[in-house]
Amino acid sequence: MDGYIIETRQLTKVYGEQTAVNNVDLHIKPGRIYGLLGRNGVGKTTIMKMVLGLTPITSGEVDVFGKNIKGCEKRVYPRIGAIIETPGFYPNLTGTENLEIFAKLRGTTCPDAVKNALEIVGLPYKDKKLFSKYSLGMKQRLGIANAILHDPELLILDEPTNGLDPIGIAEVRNFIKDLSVVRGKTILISSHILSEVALLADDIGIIDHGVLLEENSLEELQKKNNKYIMLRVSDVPKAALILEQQFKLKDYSVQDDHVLRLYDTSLDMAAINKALMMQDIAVSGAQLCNDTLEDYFKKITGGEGIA
Amino acid sequence: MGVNSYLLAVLLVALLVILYLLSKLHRVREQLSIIRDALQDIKDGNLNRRVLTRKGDMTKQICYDLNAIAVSNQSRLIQQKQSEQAYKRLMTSLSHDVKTPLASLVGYLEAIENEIVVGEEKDKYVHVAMDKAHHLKSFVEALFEWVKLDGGEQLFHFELCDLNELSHDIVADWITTFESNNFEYEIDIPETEYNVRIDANAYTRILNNLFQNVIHHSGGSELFFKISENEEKATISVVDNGKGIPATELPHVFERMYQGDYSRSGKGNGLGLSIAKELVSIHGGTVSVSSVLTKGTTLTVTLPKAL
Repeated sequence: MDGYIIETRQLTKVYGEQTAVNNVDLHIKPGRIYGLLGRNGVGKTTIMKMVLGLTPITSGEVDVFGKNIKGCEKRVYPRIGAIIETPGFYPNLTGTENLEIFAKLRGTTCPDAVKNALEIVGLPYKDKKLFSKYSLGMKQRLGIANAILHDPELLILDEPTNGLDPIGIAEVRNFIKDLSVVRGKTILISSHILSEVALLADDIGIIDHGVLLEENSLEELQKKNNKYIMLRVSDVPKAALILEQQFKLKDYSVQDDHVLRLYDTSLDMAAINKALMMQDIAVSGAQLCNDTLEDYFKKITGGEGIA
Repeated sequence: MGVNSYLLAVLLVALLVILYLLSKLHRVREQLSIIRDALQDIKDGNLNRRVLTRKGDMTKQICYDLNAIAVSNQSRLIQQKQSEQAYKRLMTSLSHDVKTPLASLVGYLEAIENEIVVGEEKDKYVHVAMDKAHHLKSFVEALFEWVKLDGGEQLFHFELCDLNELSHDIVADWITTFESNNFEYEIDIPETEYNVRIDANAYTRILNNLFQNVIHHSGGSELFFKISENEEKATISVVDNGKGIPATELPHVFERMYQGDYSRSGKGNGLGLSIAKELVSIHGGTVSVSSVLTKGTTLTVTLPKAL
């Protein structure tokens, strides 16, 4: 499938005098995990709510599954699963009973829908524990189970790991990843934790004060994160020999016929340059790539950064 | 009068039945239109599409079957895609792993041929070139072994043998290597007899690869080898006190060609642990790794007693 699962054009939300979301153009590709990254209160949840029709759109458009959602909400929403903020469950029923109610309301795609959904998030089926006795982590899991109960194509999860302990975060992260990798779901998640998004997402959109500052794949962003010296030379074997012999260098790799990467960024480039020149090796480029993702985010959010 | 009111009642009932059937017809029509939409979508290649159905729907079984077909086709497609991707990754990293040592090998040989180095220095160059050639050779051999394992071409001879005695013999062969690499070692193998059905060659290979990994990549100075056994399984652990593996890299250490940043420059070929994992899984066992940065790493193999 080509095209985007979610595409927004100049999506804007104004509350009174305040512009919460400002001309956001999102592009979410099929089968990928899209991480909406930004500090608390910059408009991530509002964007998700607008996509789901939970709050009116001030201006702009939202396409879901390649069609404008206006007018075909009834056909589109059954194909989406979502958690926005804390999901509401009946406290005096068990997890399984809660899900069975939602299954009846929404319909299912297979006879074992409830059992399957619980299995994916790692909760026991037909357990006697009441929802009111659930820990925060179990509540969060049940919320995700509810979102995937009808095996939707698209999942929208607002801060799915919020308030979980580190082990809980890792578990939730794993099964979200599985939903994408093993089951081919498209997933939109939001988070204010850079490291979390970096571990999970394939594509990242960075939001600050309602504005989408950058949208790129993690791979591209991580290229900016590597620490190495890129060296472009005329003769790779000869250069490798000099690096090994004169500079006792082992930590390097050959990219192609002319490009070497040196992974020790503290090297004295002037000396290396000189040594290579002395041996008639033309150095046509030497570039220090030394940016961490963190630095990069600081740069594009204007210095404040995202913790 | 009696007949009239009787007729009226019949008419009323008939009307109600008609209304009920009409609404039912409408509902089925609606369902069919949803199914048609979904089928078109699936036909266009969106295997993520599902049809929701509620209890009592006449089309329930059709929807369930349709979903089941989509699910099974999708999982097959995803599996195929994954193995294609893995193969591509393998090829890319392979070309890097061959290119780097090959480039420097050529560099050394050129220097020798062009008589840039003479006498003692030349001998040194020959020696380095030789080392590099040997490294390449063992890399290619390991690669072939891995490809054979991956393709399921390797044959195994499972025999009942004493795991403790076999382990003891294997470890004994490693003592000199531990010592020459300045490793302190502690070996804890039970004195009792513990019979398991294994392929002795494969088991030797597993231990060899685990030890090799510690010596080449851990950067530590102590190695602790322990076997503990119970009725169900034997647990074999290899512990080092080296630099450890960052949490982000842990999930990948058993992937072919995965060498963490810290080990890129070193020896080894990125195949040892993935070969070990393949071999262990052929025995129905598991491998796992845990690590604390700067404190060391523990690799654990379990083998079931009854195979």
